[in-house]
Amino acid sequence: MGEPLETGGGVPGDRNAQGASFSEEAVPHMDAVYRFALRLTGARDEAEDLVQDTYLRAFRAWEQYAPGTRCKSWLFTICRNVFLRGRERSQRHDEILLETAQDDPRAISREAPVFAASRDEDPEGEFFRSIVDAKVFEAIDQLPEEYRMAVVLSDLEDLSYGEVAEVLEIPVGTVKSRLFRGRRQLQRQLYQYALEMGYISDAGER
Amino acid sequence: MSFFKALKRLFSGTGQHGRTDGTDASTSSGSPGETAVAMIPCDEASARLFEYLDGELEGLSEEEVRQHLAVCEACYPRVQFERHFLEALQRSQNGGRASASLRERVLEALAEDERPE
Ligand SMILES: [Zn+2]
Repeated sequence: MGEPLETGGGVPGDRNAQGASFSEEAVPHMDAVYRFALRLTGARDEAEDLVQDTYLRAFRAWEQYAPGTRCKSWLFTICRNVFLRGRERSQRHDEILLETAQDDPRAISREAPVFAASRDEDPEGEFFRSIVDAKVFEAIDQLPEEYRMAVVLSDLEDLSYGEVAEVLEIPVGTVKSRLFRGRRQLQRQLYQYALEMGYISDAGER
Repeated sequence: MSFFKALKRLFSGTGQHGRTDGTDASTSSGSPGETAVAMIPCDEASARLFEYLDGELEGLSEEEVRQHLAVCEACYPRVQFERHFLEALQRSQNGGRASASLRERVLEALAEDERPE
């Protein structure tokens, strides 16, 4: 209706009615969206397709982006939705988690089996420093999907509990319990790996 | 218990010197100096360790938990353990970058999407 067309970033429609520029606010998060996509799909090609679909959808929905929300979180939300929808279509189902909203994250946090196991030899968990990134990713990829999403968003992409809750559409309490369970499971795997590599020896065997 | 020790050390400076105000610490249930900080047990504090490290500590006795975890010798290894673990995750974040070809492909798709039919 005779609106002046903003052409920020060289792409028509770049700026929405609220004045937010897609190329300035959304495009710079492509590395983060790619990393998230990679941990969701586990494969580079699929991750790249997912990134493209995410950005297309985000671009079309740009008018609905409210300045003030963190753009990175908004993109993660879209990325997750595109991913889940694509998977529904392919009829694949991930493992179902047995968890309840009543899970007390503090009770989970209190248990620390790996800390207890390595306590004598490496009480401060120095062995974590020796573990290469590829092994960290491998361990993350083996987490149940719901835990994996929480851990990636919180611990790799630095979202707050509240932001993770928004992206995953779950209460903050559930974020905490998924996060804590996911972290414990990761610790077990990284500890196992550290034992295999000889970064640490099995105190229980001696 | 260790927490009391740590606090005592904190308040008495070096921890080498006994109290010199004449009170008998073994029979009194805490001197005025020590009750300045409310005490919470180690397991209560360590149950909120992740919230502490995530910068998400809030609500009941937030400050007590923070202070406990900052000074308690008994909790210290556990704090370090979880810290090193989280650092390993954080560090791995640097691993992934969208390739130049992906970036180009996405921007092309966006421009394409805008083109009027
Ligand atoms: Zn303690």
